[in-house]
Amino acid sequence: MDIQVPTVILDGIVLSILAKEDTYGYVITKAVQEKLNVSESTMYPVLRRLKKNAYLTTYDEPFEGRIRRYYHVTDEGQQHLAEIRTAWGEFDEAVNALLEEE
Amino acid sequence: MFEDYFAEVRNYLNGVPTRDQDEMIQFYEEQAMDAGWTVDQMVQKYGTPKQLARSLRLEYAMDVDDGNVTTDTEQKPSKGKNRSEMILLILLLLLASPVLFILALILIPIIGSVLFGFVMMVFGIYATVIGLLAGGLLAVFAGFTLLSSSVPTGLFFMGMGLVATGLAVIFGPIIWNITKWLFEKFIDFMKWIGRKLVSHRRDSKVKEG
Repeated sequence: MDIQVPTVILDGIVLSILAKEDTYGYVITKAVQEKLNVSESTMYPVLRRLKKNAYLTTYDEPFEGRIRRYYHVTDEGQQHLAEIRTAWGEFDEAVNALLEEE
Repeated sequence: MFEDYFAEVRNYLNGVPTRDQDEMIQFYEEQAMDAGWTVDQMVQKYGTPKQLARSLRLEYAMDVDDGNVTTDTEQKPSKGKNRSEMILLILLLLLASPVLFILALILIPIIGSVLFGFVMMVFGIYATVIGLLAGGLLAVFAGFTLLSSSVPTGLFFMGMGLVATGLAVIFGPIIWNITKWLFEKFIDFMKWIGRKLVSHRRDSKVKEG
């Protein structure tokens, strides 16, 4: 059955991955795809939106004669991630309580 | 082959500021290289160059409409032009989407009639306001000339004329603003469909919503 991943949760997932270490597009997509069925085109709009809101910055590193664009979480991004985690925690608890049998 | 794919994407992105094109291509090309895809695999994942470019253009047009893009003023398209492109792309993507094709068959006539309705409404507002203004002024003038032969008739015409002019002045802007507000809501709805189209493309089970 389909459950849609809300945009804000995708934002949180990406911020959470990047909070561990700076990394590049392919790794982010792979990390999300390990758990959720998202397409290879899903991450670009997410990253673009996060960067636009100054939650992320980017820098380029050379790799085998081309460049890889690395994404880095800003302080605002860390703060935003904390907010999403709190909001999700409350939501998760509420839904679990309501979905529980009995 | 690999370069051809992105050269073609870039071709279809013509009109989008180069800096933004570079950013888009950088992401998709880098990811494809890191994944080591062949061109066929890339078409599977991203769609044909035309399809990828269309959804990138749509995403971009929606961001511009949201006021979220800071473009160089010289390259900035007008709001109306950007919106027409946005709506056209949404219609094209609706038609191209296999899942949404049935929905598209229903939605497109609705979108078409709503747009037609707006054009008619704007036209109607213009016609009514101009008619009321012209008729009103004419009646005031006619009433004034009639004053010499019959004072009550003259006053009656002048009064009617003033009422008509007043109505046009009062209700014209109100109706105009309501139409504008409705149109903004319609655009919001179109963008909502557009965001669904862009994020749902190729996802199968779990979707962004």
